[in-house]
Amino acid sequence: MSEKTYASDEIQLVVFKLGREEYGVSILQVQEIKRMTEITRVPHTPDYIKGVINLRGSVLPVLDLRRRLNLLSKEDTDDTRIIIVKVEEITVGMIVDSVSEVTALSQENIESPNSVVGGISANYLSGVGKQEDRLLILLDLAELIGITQETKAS
Amino acid sequence: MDVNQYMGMFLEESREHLESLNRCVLDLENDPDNLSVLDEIFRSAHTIKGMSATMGFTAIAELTHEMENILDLLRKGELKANAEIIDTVFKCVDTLEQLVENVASDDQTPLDVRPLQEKLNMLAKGEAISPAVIESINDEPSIEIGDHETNVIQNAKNQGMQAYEVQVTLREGCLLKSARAYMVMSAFDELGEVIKSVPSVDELEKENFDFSFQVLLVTGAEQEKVQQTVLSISEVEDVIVNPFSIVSSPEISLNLHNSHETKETEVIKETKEVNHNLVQGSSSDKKVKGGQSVRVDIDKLDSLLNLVGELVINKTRLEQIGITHRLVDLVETIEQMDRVTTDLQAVVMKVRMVPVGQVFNRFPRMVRDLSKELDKEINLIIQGEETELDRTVIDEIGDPLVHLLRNAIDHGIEHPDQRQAKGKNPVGEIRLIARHEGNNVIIMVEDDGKGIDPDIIKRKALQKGLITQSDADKMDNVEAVRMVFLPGFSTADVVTDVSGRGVGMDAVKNKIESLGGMVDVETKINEGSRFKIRLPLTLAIIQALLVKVCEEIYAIPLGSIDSTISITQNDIKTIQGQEVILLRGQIIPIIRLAKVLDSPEACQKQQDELFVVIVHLGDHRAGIVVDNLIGQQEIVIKSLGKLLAGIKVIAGATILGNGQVALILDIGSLLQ
Repeated sequence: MSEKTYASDEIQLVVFKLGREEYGVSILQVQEIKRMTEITRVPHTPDYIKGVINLRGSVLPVLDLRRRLNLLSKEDTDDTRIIIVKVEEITVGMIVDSVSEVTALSQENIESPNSVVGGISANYLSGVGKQEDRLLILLDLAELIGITQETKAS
Repeated sequence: MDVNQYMGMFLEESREHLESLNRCVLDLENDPDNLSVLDEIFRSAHTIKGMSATMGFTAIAELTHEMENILDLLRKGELKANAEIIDTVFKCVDTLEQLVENVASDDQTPLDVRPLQEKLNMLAKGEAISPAVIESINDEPSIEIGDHETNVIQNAKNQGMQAYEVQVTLREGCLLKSARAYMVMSAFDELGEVIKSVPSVDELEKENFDFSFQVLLVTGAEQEKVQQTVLSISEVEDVIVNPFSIVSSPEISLNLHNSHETKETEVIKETKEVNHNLVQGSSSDKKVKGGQSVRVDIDKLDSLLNLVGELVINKTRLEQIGITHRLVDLVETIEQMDRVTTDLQAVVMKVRMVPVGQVFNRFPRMVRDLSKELDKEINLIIQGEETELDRTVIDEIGDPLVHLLRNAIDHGIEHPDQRQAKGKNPVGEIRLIARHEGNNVIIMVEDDGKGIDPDIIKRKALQKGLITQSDADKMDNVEAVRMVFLPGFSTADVVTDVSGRGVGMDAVKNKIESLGGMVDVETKINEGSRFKIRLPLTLAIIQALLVKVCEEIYAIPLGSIDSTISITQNDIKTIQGQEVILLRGQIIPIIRLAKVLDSPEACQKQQDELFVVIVHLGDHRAGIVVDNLIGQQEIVIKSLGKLLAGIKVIAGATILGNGQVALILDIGSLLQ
């Protein structure tokens, strides 16, 4: 999450839902939010790669965030969205249950992940944000997309 | 002046001129009296000098300046382009290349060009240089001393001793070179201390030297005494003793500089005049590089191509609308538009095309240097350098070709005496051939060397545990030879500088496959080997056949399709579990696409009528079973991006008229 710049010490987050949990990604990494569209399956890829979509003439991979985070998969609904994010020059879409809002969170309200979660997917977390009585799970997109392994391997 | 904005241009042009220098000097070597080549060398050198001086890279400018002096003398016929001059000029070009690359990488380490400059100067004066002296100048940078040696010399000097650089030449035909060298060394030990020797003492003992070697000696004895002592040893031909100074003192170099400068002004005047003549002369001569051109950033070309791609996609979309709604007017208009977009596409593609000669140009020099180094005589024949390839391919194809050529020189071509013993022409021949073949470009590297012995390959592969004995027994010769492309394979018993580290061939294969091409090898023992690279002409827009498999649409590049047929389930026979069909008397293995692509099982139904697309890659043929054929269409190839790069079987994606994404099959990996 090196890209975020802190206006004072606040960061702007796009908040989305997977099941009952709320997640946040830095707004600076979000390119756009798209309704569910037709996805072309790509064979021989990890199961969390849902396929590729056409985003105004370019072909983008889309990942199924539920699969990626080892959550149960769920039928698409009218609220299902694809969040297009750009991390280190790689643009991908992430399928989420719904996108709720953009919110600001001050740095002091963010706790490091290992102090809160010990779960299997803790790798993909960059922290947990507290806002009033709700918790926002902040994702480490580079890790999530697998850039770290992919780019080093190539 | 802020020169940074011109940096890109400077680097690019310098590289271009250096490349042309390399090529021309090579020509000059073969034809020393060719004045037009000399003119071209002169022009390139002059341009580099001018540019570097403007940019403030004095080292480059000075070296080129000295080079010009020599070139000028050559042109006036006052000097003859002998091997020594050519070698020195080559060295200059190398040094210049390095200087330019240093500039490119912002490397601040200063390169000492002074020895070269001095050498050039001496050559320019046409001094009769005896071979021994040349040697000592040539090798001057080869006695490189570290801090430790510097200290020793400094200490010795403080104690009133002297450091000498001694060049000892043994008599030709001397039998026990190492023994003589040992005697010389022990004589030195009596006189003083040997700080360093080139080659090292170990190498001397192994006789790894010609007839001369150099020694850095610290001694209290006088120069004469040293010389006498060594000369008294039998079979010593010549001894040259020179005082060795650590760094030439600043005063001296300053003086040198001043004297240069006074000369420089004159020379510059002269070159200007010469240049005038040159321009007049060359126009009547021949246009070296005809046509006007504009330099364009490759990124801009890429985005231009992308835009054209979009246009094609939208055109196809309109076409579909016209057809579904039966709008005759629209369809007609689109037909017009179709012609325009096709032309536009062709032009854009052509803009991106670069003759493969751009890559080939640097090879003659490489082959020359390598064959000299390895003591082989090799004639490099280049054909089809005007064959054009997409710029992106050109940028990537250099390294694999270097590998193949190095292999051919190092492992392929034998030593002249071996060749003679086999009744071959002592001069080996390497052919580098490029040509079009359908929608592909073929590049071949052929040598008439010793070929690749499949048995040796098998043995090596066994040794390295790459295959088992039973694999080896089953394997035919063609397959065995193909194992050179396996990772970790190297047949060279001795790992030389040139090749044999076993990283080469699989890297070559990977690179070429990543470009959508393939590489194969044919070989005959004692007759030579041929490496054949097949590359797609373009990476952007192709004709493809769209097929349906389990409701998914895939594109198969038309270039690799032979025909399409429809068969029934009964036509499929099996041979050792492999499904095949018989087509016009030929047995063709078939591939069930649904299986290869892991399509959802539910839809892998057994329909009785099957469509088979017969594809080929080189000599291999296979039938791809699909559910349905949709039709032929022009598609724009899009990459799947970094994240999904390297998926087997899929070469890329394209966007169909309805906006849907379809994947493009990679026939190469399908057939493997």
